Amino acid sequence: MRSRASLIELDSTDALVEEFEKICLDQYECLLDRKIARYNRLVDKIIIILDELKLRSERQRLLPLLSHKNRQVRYQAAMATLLVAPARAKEALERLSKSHEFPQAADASIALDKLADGSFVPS
Amino acid sequence: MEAQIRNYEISLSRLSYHAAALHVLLAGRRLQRLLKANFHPTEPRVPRGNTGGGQWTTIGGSYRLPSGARVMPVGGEPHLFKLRPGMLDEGDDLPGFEDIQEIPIVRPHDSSDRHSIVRRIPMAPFVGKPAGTLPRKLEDIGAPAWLREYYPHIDANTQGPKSLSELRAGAQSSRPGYDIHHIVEKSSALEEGFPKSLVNGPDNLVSVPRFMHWEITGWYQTRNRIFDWRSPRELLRHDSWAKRYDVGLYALRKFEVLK
Repeated sequence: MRSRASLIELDSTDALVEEFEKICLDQYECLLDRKIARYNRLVDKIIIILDELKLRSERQRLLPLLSHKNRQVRYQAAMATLLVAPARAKEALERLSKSHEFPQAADASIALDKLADGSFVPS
Repeated sequence: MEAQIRNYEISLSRLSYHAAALHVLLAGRRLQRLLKANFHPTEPRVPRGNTGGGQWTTIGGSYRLPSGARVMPVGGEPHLFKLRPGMLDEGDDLPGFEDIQEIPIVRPHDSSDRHSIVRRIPMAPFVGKPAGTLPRKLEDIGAPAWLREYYPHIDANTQGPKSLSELRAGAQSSRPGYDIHHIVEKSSALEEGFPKSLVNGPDNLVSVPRFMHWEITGWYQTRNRIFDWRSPRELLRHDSWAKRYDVGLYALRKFEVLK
């Protein structure tokens, strides 16, 4: 995985989106293989990418990932685009919450609860 | 005299009983050692007469298991069972099931490899279906035989949510495919000084499908954007028992274990 400096140096938003997808796919495998420590380290990479996309006002470039075949990609993309496309992102979370595929179904359901009661505010 | 003979008969009978009981105990301990060594008759072994004869052999090749072990054909026989969309006859649009899942025909030696494989079998479409539905389908399509030891786990995972009293009642005895789960996470509660009698008390114990137990345990440890990128475990640090209990029940509901 790329370091923060090398991520920032990428002058292509497409490359950032591709890296985001790869990290989410890695996280999916980590969850199934119970590699939680690695999953948590990957979170730092996701934060770097999301911060950079926000800086570039390019978060909406993640929207196509809302229909990705992998549920971890869909979940992370939905959470990342709640500010820029709330209706589409929430619709993706609704579908995930009814999928019986865990842990993303639980996470999506919790996200919707927290959005509804105001305890989670997208940023 | 007759009483003496009778006493001898009783003593011999008792000796015989104890000898039989010892025989069973020793057989059980031998089985325990074998199970601990992950013995299984379908695992490949070096043929008798060769160096290392009878020993389990690692098989290397093009398919890598999560542990790093590899699976390869032995003697030209197929080594992978390919689980394709549509084979489980629940429609071609199984959520997330677009890729072929490859399952080694020979039982992987490492339990974590076996768990990783089984957890990738698409179970979501079978949630709420009668018990035994998915295991029967796996049998019908000729899935590898070693999966049978995980049919209880697969079945448990598709049974849908239960009431708290049902989950508590299930914790009274051990059941295949199920684990005893602490509603308030055990390790962090004990670390922060909550008494064992409370942590391990009946109100805090429920029986949940093993795979869901692992999911919920993982959830407590994973960093989540909803919680400002902290884990639920971290968030609950220093919180009251009541708050932890509420979160524990909430998690059980969100993972569709509790009604």
